[in-house]
Amino acid sequence: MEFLRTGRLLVWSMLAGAALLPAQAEATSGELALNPRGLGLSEAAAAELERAIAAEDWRLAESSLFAAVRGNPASAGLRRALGIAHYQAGRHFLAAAELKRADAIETLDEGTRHLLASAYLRIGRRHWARAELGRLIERQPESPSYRYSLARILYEQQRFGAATSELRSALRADPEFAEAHDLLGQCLEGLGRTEEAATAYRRAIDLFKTGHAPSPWPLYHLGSLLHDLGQMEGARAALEQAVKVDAGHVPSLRELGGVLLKSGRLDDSAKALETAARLEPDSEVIQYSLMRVYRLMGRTDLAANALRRYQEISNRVGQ
Amino acid sequence: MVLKCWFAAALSLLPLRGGPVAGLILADDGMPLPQRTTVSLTCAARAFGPVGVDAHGGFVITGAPDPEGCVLRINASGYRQASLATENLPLDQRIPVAVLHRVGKNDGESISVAHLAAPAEAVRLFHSAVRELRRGPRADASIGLTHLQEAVRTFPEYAQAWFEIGRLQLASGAPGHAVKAFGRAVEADPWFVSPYEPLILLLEATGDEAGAAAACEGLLRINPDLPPSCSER
Repeated sequence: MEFLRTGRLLVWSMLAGAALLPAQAEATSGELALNPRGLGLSEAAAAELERAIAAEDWRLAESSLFAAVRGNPASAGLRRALGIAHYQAGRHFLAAAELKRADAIETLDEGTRHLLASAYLRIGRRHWARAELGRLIERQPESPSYRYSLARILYEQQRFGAATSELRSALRADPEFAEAHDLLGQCLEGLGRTEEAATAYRRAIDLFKTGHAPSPWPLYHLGSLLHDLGQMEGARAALEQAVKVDAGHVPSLRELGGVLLKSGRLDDSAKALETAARLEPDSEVIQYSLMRVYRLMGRTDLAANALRRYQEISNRVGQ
Repeated sequence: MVLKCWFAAALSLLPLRGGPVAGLILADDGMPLPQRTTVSLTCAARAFGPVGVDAHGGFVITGAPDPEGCVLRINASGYRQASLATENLPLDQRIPVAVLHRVGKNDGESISVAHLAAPAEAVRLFHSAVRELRRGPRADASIGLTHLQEAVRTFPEYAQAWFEIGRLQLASGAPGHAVKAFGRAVEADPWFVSPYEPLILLLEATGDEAGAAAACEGLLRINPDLPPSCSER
Protein backbone atom coordinates (compact mmCIF):
# COMPACT_ATOMS: atom_id res chain seq x y z
CA MET A 1 0.00 0.00 0.00
CA GLU A 2 1.24 3.38 -0.87
CA PHE A 3 -0.03 6.55 0.66
CA LEU A 4 0.50 10.05 -0.51
CA ARG A 5 -0.71 13.04 1.36
CA THR A 6 -1.66 16.22 -0.36
CA GLY A 7 -2.89 18.71 2.20
CA ARG A 8 -5.79 17.06 3.95
CA LEU A 9 -6.30 14.48 1.25
CA LEU A 10 -5.29 10.93 1.78
CA VAL A 11 -4.73 9.24 -1.54
CA TRP A 12 -5.25 5.57 -1.22
CA SER A 13 -4.01 3.02 -3.66
CA MET A 14 -6.69 0.40 -3.87
CA LEU A 15 -4.99 -2.92 -4.31
CA ALA A 16 -8.12 -4.74 -5.30
CA GLY A 17 -7.70 -8.41 -4.76
CA ALA A 18 -4.40 -8.04 -2.94
CA ALA A 19 -5.58 -10.62 -0.48
CA LEU A 20 -6.19 -13.04 -3.29
CA LEU A 21 -2.92 -12.73 -5.13
CA PRO A 22 -0.65 -10.66 -2.92
CA ALA A 23 2.32 -10.59 -5.24
CA GLN A 24 0.21 -9.28 -8.09
CA ALA A 25 -1.04 -6.27 -6.22
CA GLU A 26 -0.85 -3.73 -8.96
CA ALA A 27 -4.46 -3.15 -9.71
CA THR A 28 -6.43 0.02 -9.70
CA SER A 29 -6.25 3.13 -7.64
CA GLY A 30 -8.77 5.29 -5.92
CA GLU A 31 -8.89 8.20 -3.62
CA LEU A 32 -10.22 8.52 -0.14
CA ALA A 33 -10.40 11.79 1.64
CA LEU A 34 -9.86 11.68 5.38
CA ASN A 35 -10.22 15.16 6.70
CA PRO A 36 -9.77 15.41 10.50
CA ARG A 37 -11.26 18.92 10.43
CA GLY A 38 -14.55 17.65 9.04
CA LEU A 39 -15.30 15.12 11.74
CA GLY A 40 -16.66 17.41 14.42
CA LEU A 41 -13.67 16.83 16.67
CA SER A 42 -12.30 19.36 19.12
CA GLU A 43 -9.43 21.51 17.86
CA ALA A 44 -6.94 19.53 19.95
CA ALA A 45 -8.27 16.13 18.83
CA ALA A 46 -8.34 17.19 15.16
CA ALA A 47 -4.76 18.47 15.42
CA GLU A 48 -3.62 15.23 17.06
CA LEU A 49 -5.31 13.20 14.33
CA GLU A 50 -3.74 15.36 11.65
CA ARG A 51 -0.31 14.78 13.16
CA ALA A 52 -0.93 11.03 13.38
CA ILE A 53 -1.96 10.87 9.71
CA ALA A 54 0.99 13.00 8.65
CA ALA A 55 3.34 10.65 10.53
CA GLU A 56 1.45 7.59 9.23
CA ASP A 57 1.02 6.57 12.84
CA TRP A 58 -2.19 4.63 12.29
CA ARG A 59 -2.21 3.06 15.74
CA LEU A 60 -2.38 6.55 17.21
CA ALA A 61 -5.02 7.58 14.66
CA GLU A 62 -7.21 4.56 15.41
CA SER A 63 -6.80 5.11 19.12
CA SER A 64 -7.96 8.72 19.00
CA LEU A 65 -10.78 7.92 16.54
CA PHE A 66 -11.88 4.96 18.68
CA ALA A 67 -12.28 7.32 21.65
CA ALA A 68 -14.14 9.80 19.46
CA VAL A 69 -16.56 7.13 18.20
CA ARG A 70 -17.30 6.04 21.75
CA GLY A 71 -18.24 9.64 22.49
CA ASN A 72 -20.41 9.94 19.37
CA PRO A 73 -21.46 6.48 18.20
CA ALA A 74 -24.09 7.78 15.78
CA SER A 75 -21.56 9.67 13.66
CA ALA A 76 -21.13 7.93 10.31
CA GLY A 77 -18.17 10.19 9.51
CA LEU A 78 -16.26 9.20 12.64
CA ARG A 79 -17.00 5.51 12.09
CA ARG A 80 -15.85 5.78 8.49
CA ALA A 81 -12.64 7.49 9.60
CA LEU A 82 -12.07 4.82 12.25
CA GLY A 83 -12.62 2.14 9.60
CA ILE A 84 -9.94 3.73 7.43
CA ALA A 85 -7.55 3.96 10.41
CA HIS A 86 -8.16 0.30 11.34
CA TYR A 87 -7.51 -0.67 7.73
CA GLN A 88 -4.27 1.25 7.68
CA ALA A 89 -3.22 -0.29 11.00
CA GLY A 90 -3.69 -3.73 9.43
CA ARG A 91 -6.83 -4.59 11.38
CA HIS A 92 -8.96 -5.46 8.39
CA PHE A 93 -11.76 -7.22 10.23
CA LEU A 94 -12.28 -4.23 12.50
CA ALA A 95 -12.08 -1.97 9.45
CA ALA A 96 -14.81 -3.97 7.72
CA ALA A 97 -16.99 -3.89 10.83
CA GLU A 98 -16.61 -0.15 11.33
CA LEU A 99 -17.22 0.67 7.67
CA LYS A 100 -20.29 -1.57 7.71
CA ARG A 101 -21.59 0.30 10.76
CA ALA A 102 -20.93 3.62 9.03
CA ASP A 103 -22.80 2.33 5.98
CA ALA A 104 -25.78 1.43 8.16
CA ILE A 105 -25.92 5.01 9.44
CA GLU A 106 -25.25 6.78 6.15
CA THR A 107 -24.62 5.23 2.74
CA LEU A 108 -20.91 5.06 2.04
CA ASP A 109 -19.35 7.02 -0.79
CA GLU A 110 -17.95 4.93 -3.63
CA GLY A 111 -14.31 5.14 -2.58
CA THR A 112 -15.09 3.99 0.94
CA ARG A 113 -17.29 1.19 -0.35
CA HIS A 114 -14.37 0.07 -2.49
CA LEU A 115 -12.23 0.08 0.67
CA LEU A 116 -14.90 -2.00 2.41
CA ALA A 117 -14.72 -4.50 -0.45
CA SER A 118 -10.94 -4.58 -0.08
CA ALA A 119 -11.25 -5.16 3.68
CA TYR A 120 -13.60 -8.06 2.99
CA LEU A 121 -11.08 -9.56 0.60
CA ARG A 122 -8.35 -9.23 3.16
CA ILE A 123 -10.36 -11.19 5.71
CA GLY A 124 -11.22 -13.85 3.15
CA ARG A 125 -14.85 -12.88 2.63
CA ARG A 126 -15.09 -12.94 -1.14
CA HIS A 127 -18.87 -13.20 -1.28
CA TRP A 128 -19.26 -10.07 0.79
CA ALA A 129 -16.75 -8.25 -1.38
CA ARG A 130 -18.66 -9.39 -4.44
CA ALA A 131 -21.85 -7.91 -3.05
CA GLU A 132 -20.19 -4.53 -2.41
CA LEU A 133 -18.58 -4.48 -5.85
CA GLY A 134 -21.94 -5.40 -7.35
CA ARG A 135 -23.40 -2.31 -5.68
CA LEU A 136 -20.58 -0.15 -7.03
CA ILE A 137 -21.07 -1.52 -10.55
CA GLU A 138 -24.80 -0.83 -10.36
CA ARG A 139 -23.94 2.81 -9.74
CA GLN A 140 -21.06 2.96 -12.20
CA PRO A 141 -21.55 0.26 -14.82
CA GLU A 142 -18.75 1.62 -16.99
CA SER A 143 -16.06 1.56 -14.31
CA PRO A 144 -13.29 -0.80 -15.47
CA SER A 145 -11.66 -0.91 -12.04
CA TYR A 146 -14.81 -2.14 -10.27
CA ARG A 147 -15.42 -4.75 -12.95
CA TYR A 148 -11.77 -5.83 -12.75
CA SER A 149 -12.01 -6.18 -8.95
CA LEU A 150 -15.17 -8.24 -9.31
CA ALA A 151 -13.53 -10.38 -11.98
CA ARG A 152 -10.65 -11.18 -9.64
CA ILE A 153 -13.07 -12.48 -7.05
CA LEU A 154 -14.98 -14.51 -9.64
CA TYR A 155 -11.67 -15.92 -10.89
CA GLU A 156 -10.73 -16.94 -7.35
CA GLN A 157 -14.11 -18.63 -7.06
CA GLN A 158 -13.28 -20.42 -10.33
CA ARG A 159 -16.22 -18.80 -12.09
CA PHE A 160 -14.14 -18.23 -15.18
CA GLY A 161 -17.03 -17.55 -17.57
CA ALA A 162 -18.51 -14.82 -15.38
CA ALA A 163 -15.05 -13.36 -14.74
CA THR A 164 -14.35 -13.30 -18.48
CA SER A 165 -17.56 -11.43 -19.08
CA GLU A 166 -16.67 -8.78 -16.46
CA LEU A 167 -13.19 -8.41 -17.95
CA ARG A 168 -14.54 -8.00 -21.48
CA SER A 169 -16.71 -5.16 -20.15
CA ALA A 170 -13.72 -3.61 -18.36
CA LEU A 171 -11.64 -3.83 -21.53
CA ARG A 172 -14.37 -2.27 -23.66
CA ALA A 173 -14.15 0.75 -21.35
CA ASP A 174 -10.35 0.69 -21.13
CA PRO A 175 -8.70 -1.42 -23.87
CA GLU A 176 -5.24 -0.68 -22.49
CA PHE A 177 -5.91 -2.07 -19.02
CA ALA A 178 -2.89 -4.38 -18.86
CA GLU A 179 -3.86 -6.17 -15.63
CA ALA A 180 -7.29 -6.93 -17.09
CA HIS A 181 -5.70 -8.57 -20.15
CA ASP A 182 -3.47 -10.63 -17.85
CA LEU A 183 -6.41 -11.78 -15.75
CA LEU A 184 -8.44 -12.46 -18.89
CA GLY A 185 -5.65 -14.79 -19.99
CA GLN A 186 -5.89 -16.69 -16.69
CA CYS A 187 -9.68 -16.97 -17.01
CA LEU A 188 -9.45 -18.19 -20.60
CA GLU A 189 -6.85 -20.71 -19.49
CA GLY A 190 -9.30 -21.85 -16.84
CA LEU A 191 -11.88 -22.35 -19.59
CA GLY A 192 -9.36 -24.37 -21.63
CA ARG A 193 -9.14 -21.71 -24.34
CA THR A 194 -5.35 -21.77 -24.37
CA GLU A 195 -4.69 -19.99 -27.66
CA GLU A 196 -6.88 -17.05 -26.68
CA ALA A 197 -5.22 -17.07 -23.26
CA ALA A 198 -1.76 -16.81 -24.82
CA THR A 199 -2.98 -13.91 -26.97
CA ALA A 200 -4.32 -12.12 -23.88
CA TYR A 201 -1.01 -12.62 -22.02
CA ARG A 202 0.94 -11.28 -25.01
CA ARG A 203 -1.30 -8.22 -25.13
CA ALA A 204 -0.71 -7.65 -21.40
CA ILE A 205 3.05 -8.04 -21.88
CA ASP A 206 3.02 -5.44 -24.69
CA LEU A 207 0.99 -3.01 -22.60
CA PHE A 208 3.25 -3.42 -19.58
CA LYS A 209 6.23 -2.73 -21.84
CA THR A 210 4.80 0.51 -23.18
CA GLY A 211 2.68 2.33 -20.69
CA HIS A 212 3.20 0.67 -17.31
CA ALA A 213 5.91 -0.27 -14.89
CA PRO A 214 7.10 -3.66 -16.13
CA SER A 215 5.54 -6.68 -14.48
CA PRO A 216 6.79 -10.27 -14.51
CA TRP A 217 3.29 -11.69 -14.03
CA PRO A 218 1.97 -11.94 -17.62
CA LEU A 219 5.36 -13.31 -18.69
CA TYR A 220 5.16 -15.89 -15.94
CA HIS A 221 1.60 -16.80 -16.88
CA LEU A 222 2.53 -17.14 -20.55
CA GLY A 223 5.62 -19.18 -19.67
CA SER A 224 3.59 -21.52 -17.46
CA LEU A 225 0.96 -21.96 -20.15
CA LEU A 226 3.53 -22.74 -22.84
CA HIS A 227 5.25 -25.13 -20.42
CA ASP A 228 1.95 -26.97 -19.93
CA LEU A 229 1.48 -27.09 -23.70
CA GLY A 230 4.97 -28.57 -24.14
CA GLN A 231 6.30 -25.52 -25.98
CA MET A 232 9.58 -25.46 -24.07
CA GLU A 233 11.44 -22.85 -26.10
CA GLY A 234 8.64 -20.32 -25.87
CA ALA A 235 8.19 -21.09 -22.19
CA ARG A 236 11.88 -20.62 -21.46
CA ALA A 237 12.01 -17.33 -23.35
CA ALA A 238 8.99 -15.91 -21.48
CA LEU A 239 10.24 -17.06 -18.09
CA GLU A 240 13.77 -15.74 -18.67
CA GLN A 241 12.21 -12.42 -19.64
CA ALA A 242 10.15 -12.48 -16.43
CA VAL A 243 13.30 -12.99 -14.38
CA LYS A 244 14.96 -10.12 -16.26
CA VAL A 245 12.05 -7.87 -15.30
CA ASP A 246 12.21 -9.03 -11.66
CA ALA A 247 15.21 -11.10 -10.60
CA GLY A 248 13.46 -11.99 -7.36
CA HIS A 249 10.28 -13.34 -8.93
CA VAL A 250 10.16 -16.75 -7.29
CA PRO A 251 7.25 -18.26 -9.29
CA SER A 252 9.12 -17.54 -12.54
CA LEU A 253 12.41 -18.92 -11.18
CA ARG A 254 10.68 -22.07 -10.00
CA GLU A 255 8.88 -22.56 -13.31
CA LEU A 256 12.05 -21.80 -15.26
CA GLY A 257 13.89 -24.44 -13.22
CA GLY A 258 11.26 -26.97 -14.27
CA VAL A 259 11.43 -26.00 -17.95
CA LEU A 260 15.24 -26.17 -18.00
CA LEU A 261 15.14 -29.54 -16.26
CA LYS A 262 12.84 -30.95 -18.91
CA SER A 263 15.09 -29.46 -21.59
CA GLY A 264 18.10 -31.32 -20.10
CA ARG A 265 19.87 -28.12 -19.01
CA LEU A 266 20.55 -29.41 -15.53
CA ASP A 267 23.15 -26.84 -14.43
CA ASP A 268 20.93 -23.92 -15.46
CA SER A 269 17.91 -25.57 -13.86
CA ALA A 270 19.80 -26.00 -10.58
CA LYS A 271 20.91 -22.36 -10.68
CA ALA A 272 17.35 -21.09 -11.14
CA LEU A 273 16.02 -23.33 -8.39
CA GLU A 274 18.86 -22.47 -6.01
CA THR A 275 18.07 -18.78 -6.46
CA ALA A 276 14.38 -19.51 -5.82
CA ALA A 277 15.29 -21.52 -2.70
CA ARG A 278 17.40 -18.67 -1.35
CA LEU A 279 14.49 -16.28 -1.83
CA GLU A 280 11.88 -18.67 -0.47
CA PRO A 281 13.66 -21.09 1.85
CA ASP A 282 10.45 -22.60 3.20
CA SER A 283 9.03 -23.78 -0.11
CA GLU A 284 8.76 -27.55 -0.14
CA VAL A 285 8.03 -27.55 -3.89
CA ILE A 286 11.33 -25.87 -4.65
CA GLN A 287 13.29 -28.28 -2.41
CA TYR A 288 11.62 -31.23 -4.10
CA SER A 289 12.50 -29.91 -7.57
CA LEU A 290 16.07 -29.29 -6.41
CA MET A 291 16.32 -32.86 -5.18
CA ARG A 292 15.25 -34.16 -8.59
CA VAL A 293 17.77 -31.98 -10.44
CA TYR A 294 20.65 -32.92 -8.10
CA ARG A 295 19.84 -36.62 -8.48
CA LEU A 296 19.95 -36.32 -12.26
CA MET A 297 23.25 -34.47 -11.93
CA GLY A 298 24.62 -37.27 -9.75
CA ARG A 299 25.03 -34.88 -6.80
CA THR A 300 23.76 -37.33 -4.20
CA ASP A 301 24.92 -35.29 -1.19
CA LEU A 302 23.05 -32.20 -2.36
CA ALA A 303 20.04 -34.32 -3.31
CA ALA A 304 19.98 -35.81 0.19
CA ASN A 305 20.14 -32.34 1.73
CA ALA A 306 17.28 -31.12 -0.45
CA LEU A 307 15.22 -34.19 0.45
CA ARG A 308 15.89 -33.59 4.14
CA ARG A 309 14.81 -29.94 3.79
CA TYR A 310 11.72 -31.01 1.86
CA GLN A 311 10.77 -33.45 4.64
CA GLU A 312 11.42 -30.88 7.36
CA ILE A 313 9.19 -28.32 5.67
CA SER A 314 6.47 -30.87 4.89
CA ASN A 315 6.41 -32.06 8.49
CA ARG A 316 6.21 -28.50 9.75
CA VAL A 317 3.38 -27.67 7.38
CA GLY A 318 1.53 -30.84 8.33
CA GLN A 319 1.70 -30.12 12.06
CA MET B 1 -15.48 -13.24 35.18
CA VAL B 2 -16.91 -9.78 35.69
CA LEU B 3 -14.03 -8.83 37.99
CA LYS B 4 -11.53 -10.02 35.39
CA CYS B 5 -13.22 -7.92 32.72
CA TRP B 6 -13.16 -4.84 34.93
CA PHE B 7 -9.52 -5.56 35.60
CA ALA B 8 -8.76 -5.73 31.87
CA ALA B 9 -10.65 -2.49 31.28
CA ALA B 10 -8.82 -0.76 34.12
CA LEU B 11 -5.49 -1.91 32.74
CA SER B 12 -6.34 -0.69 29.29
CA LEU B 13 -4.97 2.74 29.92
CA LEU B 14 -1.67 1.56 31.36
CA PRO B 15 1.46 1.91 29.24
CA LEU B 16 2.80 -1.33 27.75
CA ARG B 17 6.42 -1.22 28.96
CA GLY B 18 6.86 -3.09 32.19
CA GLY B 19 3.10 -3.46 32.68
CA PRO B 20 0.66 -6.26 32.16
CA VAL B 21 -0.48 -7.09 28.66
CA ALA B 22 -4.25 -6.93 28.43
CA GLY B 23 -6.68 -6.91 25.57
CA LEU B 24 -9.73 -8.26 23.84
CA ILE B 25 -10.14 -11.03 21.30
CA LEU B 26 -13.02 -11.57 18.90
CA ALA B 27 -14.10 -14.38 16.61
CA ASP B 28 -14.77 -13.53 12.98
CA ASP B 29 -17.97 -15.56 12.83
CA GLY B 30 -19.63 -13.43 15.48
CA MET B 31 -19.73 -16.30 17.96
CA PRO B 32 -18.52 -16.13 21.57
CA LEU B 33 -15.01 -17.54 22.01
CA PRO B 34 -14.72 -21.15 23.15
CA GLN B 35 -14.24 -21.47 26.92
CA ARG B 36 -10.82 -23.00 26.55
CA THR B 37 -9.33 -20.11 24.57
CA THR B 38 -5.80 -19.41 25.78
CA VAL B 39 -3.44 -16.51 25.33
CA SER B 40 0.31 -16.66 25.93
CA LEU B 41 3.18 -14.24 25.56
CA THR B 42 6.61 -15.28 24.35
CA CYS B 43 9.55 -12.95 24.95
CA ALA B 44 12.78 -14.39 23.54
CA ALA B 45 13.10 -17.72 25.37
CA ARG B 46 10.62 -16.89 28.15
CA ALA B 47 6.94 -17.68 28.01
CA PHE B 48 4.21 -16.08 30.09
CA GLY B 49 0.79 -17.61 30.48
CA PRO B 50 -1.15 -19.21 29.04
CA VAL B 51 -4.15 -17.45 30.49
CA GLY B 52 -7.82 -17.87 29.69
CA VAL B 53 -10.29 -15.26 28.47
CA ASP B 54 -13.38 -13.92 30.19
CA ALA B 55 -16.91 -14.05 28.77
CA HIS B 56 -16.20 -10.97 26.64
CA GLY B 57 -12.89 -12.21 25.19
CA GLY B 58 -10.79 -10.15 27.62
CA PHE B 59 -7.43 -11.39 28.91
CA VAL B 60 -4.60 -10.15 31.12
CA ILE B 61 -1.04 -11.48 31.18
CA THR B 62 1.16 -10.30 33.99
CA GLY B 63 4.76 -10.98 34.90
CA ALA B 64 6.54 -9.99 31.71
CA PRO B 65 9.15 -7.41 32.79
CA ASP B 66 9.25 -5.75 29.36
CA PRO B 67 6.56 -6.93 26.95
CA GLU B 68 8.02 -5.00 24.02
CA GLY B 69 9.46 -7.22 21.31
CA CYS B 70 7.31 -10.15 22.42
CA VAL B 71 4.75 -12.21 20.52
CA LEU B 72 1.21 -12.84 21.68
CA ARG B 73 -0.25 -16.21 20.69
CA ILE B 74 -3.93 -17.08 20.85
CA ASN B 75 -5.30 -20.61 20.65
CA ALA B 76 -8.96 -21.47 20.44
CA SER B 77 -10.46 -24.75 19.41
CA GLY B 78 -12.12 -24.46 16.00
CA TYR B 79 -10.19 -21.33 15.06
CA ARG B 80 -6.84 -20.74 13.42
CA GLN B 81 -4.07 -19.87 15.81
CA ALA B 82 -3.38 -16.15 15.78
CA SER B 83 -0.19 -14.37 16.74
CA LEU B 84 0.65 -10.72 17.01
CA ALA B 85 3.85 -8.83 17.77
CA THR B 86 3.37 -6.62 20.81
CA GLU B 87 4.56 -3.65 18.74
CA ASN B 88 1.34 -3.97 16.75
CA LEU B 89 -0.99 -4.05 19.73
CA PRO B 90 -3.55 -1.26 19.63
CA LEU B 91 -2.65 1.71 21.80
CA ASP B 92 -6.13 1.66 23.31
CA GLN B 93 -6.59 -1.82 24.68
CA ARG B 94 -10.35 -1.62 24.28
CA ILE B 95 -9.66 -2.13 20.57
CA PRO B 96 -9.57 -5.88 19.95
CA VAL B 97 -6.02 -7.17 19.49
CA ALA B 98 -6.98 -10.10 17.30
CA VAL B 99 -9.90 -11.53 15.41
CA LEU B 100 -9.79 -15.31 15.22
CA HIS B 101 -10.61 -16.92 11.91
CA ARG B 102 -12.97 -19.85 12.03
CA VAL B 103 -11.48 -23.02 10.55
CA GLY B 104 -13.58 -24.41 7.74
CA LYS B 105 -16.01 -21.49 7.72
CA ASN B 106 -14.96 -18.94 5.26
CA ASP B 107 -15.85 -16.93 2.23
CA GLY B 108 -19.00 -15.60 3.78
CA GLU B 109 -21.02 -18.64 2.88
CA SER B 110 -21.97 -19.72 6.35
CA ILE B 111 -21.32 -16.50 8.24
CA SER B 112 -23.48 -13.42 7.94
CA VAL B 113 -21.97 -10.04 7.20
CA ALA B 114 -24.70 -8.47 9.33
CA HIS B 115 -22.98 -9.35 12.59
CA LEU B 116 -20.27 -6.84 11.73
CA ALA B 117 -22.74 -4.01 12.11
CA ALA B 118 -24.50 -5.40 15.17
CA PRO B 119 -24.43 -3.10 18.20
CA ALA B 120 -22.70 -4.39 21.33
CA GLU B 121 -25.92 -5.07 23.21
CA ALA B 122 -27.30 -7.25 20.40
CA VAL B 123 -24.02 -9.16 20.23
CA ARG B 124 -24.09 -9.67 24.00
CA LEU B 125 -27.60 -11.12 23.79
CA PHE B 126 -26.66 -13.34 20.87
CA HIS B 127 -23.60 -14.62 22.72
CA SER B 128 -25.69 -15.32 25.82
CA ALA B 129 -28.05 -17.38 23.69
CA VAL B 130 -25.21 -19.32 22.07
CA ARG B 131 -23.60 -20.00 25.44
CA GLU B 132 -26.90 -21.31 26.77
CA LEU B 133 -27.48 -23.52 23.73
CA ARG B 134 -23.94 -24.87 23.94
CA ARG B 135 -24.66 -26.35 27.37
CA GLY B 136 -25.71 -29.56 25.67
CA PRO B 137 -28.32 -31.61 27.53
CA ARG B 138 -28.46 -28.97 30.28
CA ALA B 139 -29.36 -26.22 27.79
CA ASP B 140 -32.70 -24.48 28.16
CA ALA B 141 -33.83 -23.72 24.62
CA SER B 142 -36.47 -21.28 25.82
CA ILE B 143 -33.80 -19.11 27.50
CA GLY B 144 -31.74 -19.23 24.29
CA LEU B 145 -34.79 -18.29 22.22
CA THR B 146 -35.63 -15.38 24.52
CA HIS B 147 -32.09 -13.99 24.23
CA LEU B 148 -32.20 -14.36 20.46
CA GLN B 149 -35.56 -12.62 20.22
CA GLU B 150 -34.21 -9.77 22.30
CA ALA B 151 -31.15 -9.64 20.05
CA VAL B 152 -33.28 -9.20 16.91
CA ARG B 153 -35.46 -6.68 18.69
CA THR B 154 -32.31 -4.67 19.40
CA PHE B 155 -30.93 -5.20 15.91
CA PRO B 156 -33.55 -6.37 13.39
CA GLU B 157 -30.90 -6.97 10.69
CA TYR B 158 -29.17 -9.62 12.82
CA ALA B 159 -29.36 -12.42 10.23
CA GLN B 160 -27.42 -14.93 12.33
CA ALA B 161 -29.81 -14.46 15.23
CA TRP B 162 -32.82 -14.91 12.94
CA PHE B 163 -31.25 -18.08 11.59
CA GLU B 164 -30.74 -19.49 15.08
CA ILE B 165 -34.33 -18.57 15.96
CA GLY B 166 -35.48 -20.47 12.88
CA ARG B 167 -33.48 -23.52 13.88
CA LEU B 168 -34.83 -23.50 17.41
CA GLN B 169 -38.40 -23.09 16.20
CA LEU B 170 -37.96 -25.89 13.70
CA ALA B 171 -36.58 -28.14 16.43
CA SER B 172 -39.52 -27.28 18.70
CA GLY B 173 -42.00 -28.30 16.02
CA ALA B 174 -43.10 -24.85 14.88
CA PRO B 175 -42.29 -24.87 11.14
CA GLY B 176 -44.54 -21.89 10.43
CA HIS B 177 -42.54 -19.68 12.81
CA ALA B 178 -39.30 -21.20 11.52
CA VAL B 179 -40.06 -20.29 7.92
CA LYS B 180 -40.71 -16.70 8.96
CA ALA B 181 -37.43 -16.55 10.91
CA PHE B 182 -35.41 -18.04 8.03
CA GLY B 183 -37.13 -15.57 5.71
CA ARG B 184 -36.11 -12.68 7.96
CA ALA B 185 -32.52 -13.99 7.98
CA VAL B 186 -32.41 -14.01 4.18
CA GLU B 187 -34.05 -10.62 4.01
CA ALA B 188 -31.53 -9.17 6.48
CA ASP B 189 -28.53 -10.61 4.66
CA PRO B 190 -29.21 -12.06 1.19
CA TRP B 191 -25.59 -13.29 1.05
CA PHE B 192 -25.87 -15.47 4.14
CA VAL B 193 -26.14 -18.97 2.76
CA SER B 194 -27.13 -20.99 5.85
CA PRO B 195 -30.85 -20.11 6.06
CA TYR B 196 -31.56 -20.76 2.37
CA GLU B 197 -31.66 -24.54 2.38
CA PRO B 198 -34.03 -24.99 5.35
CA LEU B 199 -36.12 -22.13 3.99
CA ILE B 200 -36.40 -23.73 0.56
CA LEU B 201 -37.26 -27.13 2.04
CA LEU B 202 -39.92 -25.64 4.30
CA LEU B 203 -41.43 -23.58 1.50
CA GLU B 204 -41.52 -26.62 -0.78
CA ALA B 205 -43.10 -28.69 1.99
CA THR B 206 -45.88 -26.16 2.37
CA GLY B 207 -46.46 -26.00 -1.38
CA ASP B 208 -45.18 -22.44 -1.71
CA GLU B 209 -43.48 -23.01 -5.05
CA ALA B 210 -43.13 -19.31 -5.84
CA GLY B 211 -41.47 -18.63 -2.49
CA ALA B 212 -39.13 -21.59 -2.93
CA ALA B 213 -38.22 -20.44 -6.44
CA ALA B 214 -37.42 -16.93 -5.18
CA ALA B 215 -35.24 -18.36 -2.40
CA CYS B 216 -33.49 -20.60 -4.94
CA GLU B 217 -32.78 -17.55 -7.07
CA GLY B 218 -31.10 -15.88 -4.08
CA LEU B 219 -29.08 -18.97 -3.30
CA LEU B 220 -27.95 -19.48 -6.88
CA ARG B 221 -26.76 -15.89 -6.94
CA ILE B 222 -24.34 -16.80 -4.15
CA ASN B 223 -23.24 -20.11 -5.57
CA PRO B 224 -24.55 -21.64 -8.81
CA ASP B 225 -23.51 -25.09 -7.56
CA LEU B 226 -25.88 -24.99 -4.59
CA PRO B 227 -28.14 -26.83 -4.20
CA PRO B 228 -28.82 -29.33 -7.01
CA SER B 229 -32.59 -29.16 -6.48
CA CYS B 230 -32.50 -25.43 -7.27
CA SER B 231 -30.43 -25.97 -10.42
CA GLU B 232 -33.09 -28.37 -11.70
CA ARG B 233 -35.85 -25.79 -11.52
